[in-house]
Amino acid sequence: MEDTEIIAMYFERQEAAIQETGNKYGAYLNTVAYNILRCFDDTEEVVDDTYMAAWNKIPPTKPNSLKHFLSRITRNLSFDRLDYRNAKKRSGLFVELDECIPDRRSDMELIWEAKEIGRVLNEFLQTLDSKTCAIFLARYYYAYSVKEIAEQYGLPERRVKYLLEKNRNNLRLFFEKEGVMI
Amino acid sequence: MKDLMRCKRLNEAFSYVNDEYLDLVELERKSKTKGNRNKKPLWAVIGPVAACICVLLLPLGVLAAKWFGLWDLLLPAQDRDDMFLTMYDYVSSPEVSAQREWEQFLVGYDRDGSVWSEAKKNGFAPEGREDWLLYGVYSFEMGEKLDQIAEKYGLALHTARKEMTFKELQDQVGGSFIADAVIGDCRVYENGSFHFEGSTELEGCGETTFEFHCTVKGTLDGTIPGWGGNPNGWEEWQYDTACGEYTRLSLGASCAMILTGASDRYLMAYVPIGYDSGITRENLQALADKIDFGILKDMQLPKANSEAPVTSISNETLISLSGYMDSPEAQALVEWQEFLAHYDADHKIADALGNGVFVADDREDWGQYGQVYSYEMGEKLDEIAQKYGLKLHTEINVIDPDELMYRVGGNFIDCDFLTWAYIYEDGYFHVEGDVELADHGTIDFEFVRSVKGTFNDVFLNIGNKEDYTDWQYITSCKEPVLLAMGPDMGLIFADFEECFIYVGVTFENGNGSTKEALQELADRIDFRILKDVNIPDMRGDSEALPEE
Repeated sequence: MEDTEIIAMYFERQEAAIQETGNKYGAYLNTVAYNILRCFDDTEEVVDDTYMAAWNKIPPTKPNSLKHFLSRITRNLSFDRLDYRNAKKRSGLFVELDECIPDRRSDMELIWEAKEIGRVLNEFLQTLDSKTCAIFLARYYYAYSVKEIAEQYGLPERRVKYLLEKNRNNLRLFFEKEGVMI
Repeated sequence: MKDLMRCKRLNEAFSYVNDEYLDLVELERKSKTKGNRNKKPLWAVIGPVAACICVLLLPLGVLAAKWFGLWDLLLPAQDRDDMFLTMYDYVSSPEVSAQREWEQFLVGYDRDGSVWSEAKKNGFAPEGREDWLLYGVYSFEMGEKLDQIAEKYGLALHTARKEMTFKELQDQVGGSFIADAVIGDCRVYENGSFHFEGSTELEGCGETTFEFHCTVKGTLDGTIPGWGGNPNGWEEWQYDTACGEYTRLSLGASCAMILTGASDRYLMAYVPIGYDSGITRENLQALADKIDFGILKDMQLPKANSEAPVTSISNETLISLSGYMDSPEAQALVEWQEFLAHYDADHKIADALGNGVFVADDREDWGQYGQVYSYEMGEKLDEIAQKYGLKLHTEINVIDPDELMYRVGGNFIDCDFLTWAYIYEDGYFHVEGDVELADHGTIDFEFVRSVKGTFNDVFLNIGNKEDYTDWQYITSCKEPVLLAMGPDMGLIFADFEECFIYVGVTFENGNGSTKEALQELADRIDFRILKDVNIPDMRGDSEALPEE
């Protein structure tokens, strides 16, 4: 089913939209979540949460690319889940204090800041050739391991590490040049 | 944990990466590697950017014929027996049309990766149709589609591919046909088609990467770039190169092409950036001037024989990175290589192992040598090591640059960038990096220190040794080194009582400054720190920072 049809179903509030989303992008979203969480149970829950989030956001949001719209949700939810998991390992004091901190995602200033950094990041990505850009995002957006990237792109692991390291360095310089403070 | 919150903030920013860049992750992967993942040298992984653009912009490609106007662009027929070419001719050729259809199929196929996962798990070996594997096919459905497309356009499929060095390719085609460029390994097919990737300096654009394709007509190539960019923005013109050959040049927003050919072949240089990235007409013409299309139009096509080894490497082209030829380390390496050359010639043992990994529980040290995949090989390794009085490596750590400096005893090189390194228990290490040299820009280097008394299976193919000039040099830290300069490589060797050091750089030769550049690089290295080997503190791999 085409994305436009699935999105139309969301707008018509047809619950089958979720099933169609799962049929088309379920495996992809599982990969996105699993790469970050490396845990099947958490992956399943995060992907389910992604469908619910999509249901709540569409409408009014009408994504240009349903696939990437979903992947962003999955990615954010996965990192939230990861934070939660790590928080459980921290001391009880930290966990208690964490409850005092307002929800970051509702903080407009932080969202604006992330968008601004994202804008500069896009400018940086534009300077990369396609292969390097793909490898960089395979690691830092999709969270594939170096080994997985090496396999997928037919490169030695050493070369992948080299490219990542070099471009992390270049990104830092790019941020400095653009006056981005993180 | 340098700063968890800052890393999180940066991580969140990745959520705002544009869709087009995210698409690249999949497109680059699909077009390059599926089903054919083994032994792809960096430079041989060609294809692609252009192929992806071709797929993404398929409808534009179709439109493009109208935009450019065939009639305006057809060449004058006079004394041009080498045929064509306008972009229209090229884009509408059966070879490119078939390529486009194949790429279009690939983009829509196996979107969830389940077929690929299945093939990865169970393997895919279509008996009698090994030709499919040259196209990254990993299911019968894909293979049948490939056959169908080839038949539709009246094209054959490739049956064999061979990787060779650029020098070997030039020897085959009858001469040097590209000047002033760094060229990677080349892929040559059974019908004489070949392609490779290279880079050259273009004024105002700096180091510019390009692909070169010689595509013999009548075969579905699988790698040739198609058509990209916004057709509104394309500019196309005729250009006679410095060596007097007719070419058609096309400059788009995101890529550029130099196109010519003969009656049986297309010749194309493809630049994966266009005027949006600063490429000008003059840049493209300058690139065309560096290529001798005359040789390429008249050349005897190179051949890839499927029975032939992937590359024929003669002994004289290989150098040991562990010591000079009279050293036990180098002699042991020669004997090991001779053994490998004749062992398991019919691949039965390797095939029986399949995708599994050979592990000898009681001999973890064999695992440090990737070429060992049977007890027989391991025992031979023992025998050779014993014969030459050498030990085998037992442990390896992967470490960050700071840790490397700690383990070897100090900062031994003044450079701009170092990758992570790997280091063995005896102090052998390997690291890569960048260094900016006066008058020579930034160059990449590879740095290896081998510690004497241990067997290392690493060697380097330097091409024809006759192409090298070497000289002795005393570095700024008063240590003697041997420097060697070849057509596109510079080598530094330092032989000490406890270790042997090799530094390799790749750069363009012939501008008179490379010898000085190599000496400058040698001066940046403090050999005094490395010559006396400290047994490293093998305290494990470095931990990656959060952003890694």
